[in-house]
Amino acid sequence: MAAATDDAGDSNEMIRVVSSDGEHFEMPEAAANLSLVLRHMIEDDCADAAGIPLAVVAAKPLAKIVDYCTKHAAKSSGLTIEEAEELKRFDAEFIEVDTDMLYDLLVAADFMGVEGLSKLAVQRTADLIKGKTPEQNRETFGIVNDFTPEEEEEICKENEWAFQITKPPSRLC
Amino acid sequence: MAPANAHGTVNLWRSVPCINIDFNEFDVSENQAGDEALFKRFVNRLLELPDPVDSMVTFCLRYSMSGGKDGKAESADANRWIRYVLQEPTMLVEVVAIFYALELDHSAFTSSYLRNIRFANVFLDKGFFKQIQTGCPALEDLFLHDCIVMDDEISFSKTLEVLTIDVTKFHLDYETSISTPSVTSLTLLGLSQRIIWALLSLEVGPAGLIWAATTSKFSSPRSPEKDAPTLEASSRAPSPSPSPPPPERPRPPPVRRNVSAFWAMEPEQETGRDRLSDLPDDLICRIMSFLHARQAVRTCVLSQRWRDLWRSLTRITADFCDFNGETDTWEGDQERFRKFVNNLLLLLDPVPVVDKFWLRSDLPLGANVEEASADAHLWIGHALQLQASVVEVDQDIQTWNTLELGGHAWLTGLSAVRNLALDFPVGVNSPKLEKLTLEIKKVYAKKINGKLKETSFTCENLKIVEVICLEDDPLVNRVKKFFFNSGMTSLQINITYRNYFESEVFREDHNRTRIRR
Repeated sequence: MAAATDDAGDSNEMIRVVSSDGEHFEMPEAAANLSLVLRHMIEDDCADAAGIPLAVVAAKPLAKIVDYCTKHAAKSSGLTIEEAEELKRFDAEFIEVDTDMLYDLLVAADFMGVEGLSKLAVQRTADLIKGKTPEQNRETFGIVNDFTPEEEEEICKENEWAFQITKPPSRLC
Repeated sequence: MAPANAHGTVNLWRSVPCINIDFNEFDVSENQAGDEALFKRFVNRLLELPDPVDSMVTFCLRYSMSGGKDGKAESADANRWIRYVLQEPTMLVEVVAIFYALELDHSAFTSSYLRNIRFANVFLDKGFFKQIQTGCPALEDLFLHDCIVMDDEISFSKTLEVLTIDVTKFHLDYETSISTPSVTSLTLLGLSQRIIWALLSLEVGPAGLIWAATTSKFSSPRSPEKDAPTLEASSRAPSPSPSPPPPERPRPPPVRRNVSAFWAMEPEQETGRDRLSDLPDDLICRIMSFLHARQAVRTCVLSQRWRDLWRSLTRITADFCDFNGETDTWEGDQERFRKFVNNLLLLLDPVPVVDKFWLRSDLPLGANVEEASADAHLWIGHALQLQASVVEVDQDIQTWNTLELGGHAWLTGLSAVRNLALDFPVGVNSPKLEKLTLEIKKVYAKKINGKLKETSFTCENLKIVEVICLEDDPLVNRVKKFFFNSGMTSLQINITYRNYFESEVFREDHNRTRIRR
């Protein structure tokens, strides 16, 4: 549930948000401000006791996002090298999630406009793709190869300049 | 349920504009055959009465046939009824076959009134679509649920606006294609992916609204659902009440403007499903922007969805290291690299504006510096034509020779660039340039001596120079002096000592082991 509320000072107002499946979360205003959408809602005085409804974000990813924002908001200004390093470690651990959660975070962070998290999730996805053969990538992400062998060969040929020449194109990709 | 209510009334029922006949209301005798006989007699009488319902608008038939060996013969009655109502000015025909599929005789479909066809569990043989295309010129809405299509060429006249194909099987031997020039709503639900891809020769109207979803439930032809229609004659006596639920009205399709986000999400998400491909284009392109260009292009073979996504890359990272060691010689590698960057820049969509063009090449001692320099120049020029707002050139500088390239890579025509980051001093001619970032590496600090003065700057709008360097780099002072001499004040020169944690994430790649020869 509402993560790390203890990080917030007493004077800091808590912002309530509601996930698409009706769960309530709380975070300090500074944390909510990391989300462009929430910031605009707060500026427009739309944050009330009932909570800001987030129609496309389910409870599971929202819990993560609240976690992320709370952590980052608490540590935003005047970072020492140690703190920066700690935050980096937090991020690295934070994004160690399965692909399902990763998609949820990608979509939710994009929707809520949490720039740092969005970048983190995009980077993580790219890292998963990096250095893998297409076959491995299909396996990782459950992508179904819907090309006929002829089509696949044609595409490899068409983009031969991006593939290696040492192996037959259809194998390597 | 007009006829049922009309059973007792004497005359009024004769003018009902909507006939809705349901076999389930005839579950009266002890066996199916008895019910069927009763039902047939009822429909025959209803339709063939001397005072026909001349104002008939809709005709809905819910019918269950016995599963005889000859499907055509079994379907004969229903086909006769349909033929009859189509001779009337009927605007809507709905036929639901319960349990056994109805083998439709499509020759009956000649009606200039017919606007709406709804079939469930109906077998459509070859020629049906051609027939309705020519025979039913007013058809606007076709709904198929749980049908079997034996036709390969599915094309519609210009009047068809709504097409819904739900849990329908297509014959595996045909390469089915759908052509709907003016459809405004197309719904494909519960089809196996194979079928949908086969249908991708789909031609839809310009303002096509496409809503498609796949369910794994129907993707395997070997695991038909209990109620799924089957063409094989079964000796099992059909039980009187296996009526499948009536075809649901299609939900109003949610508006999805992005046709390429073609696979809509199912309500419950199975794990392992390809949700990556479901992401919107711009998110996928962002992900790809974090890849080196070569890997990004290679995603084209993943699936149809990915085939051309790389063309909208907005951040180009062209790295010689990706080609290092591919052939036996540096010249071979360089040739591959050149070919790659040339093709990439030519084939990218010109529409999306490039955010960033990052280039790293590597020149060993004795390499043809001028040629490599000319290439780099060409590419940078091209990137600038793509309105790149950030250009970064990172030459892997190890020798005096490679530094020469820096001198040669005279950047001109940087008209759109406001923010330029280079990791070595280079001649710049950019009237709009406001911010220049120089990243200085200690490794070649000694060798740069005197070089800086030769390169000249024509950047009248330059306001900020940012120098990123290690703390004790003696070169910094020289750089400062150079810009002071060019008329800048110390306020405009911003020296940032390299902060490992604030560096961009993908810079990690840049920092990997240098190429050694």
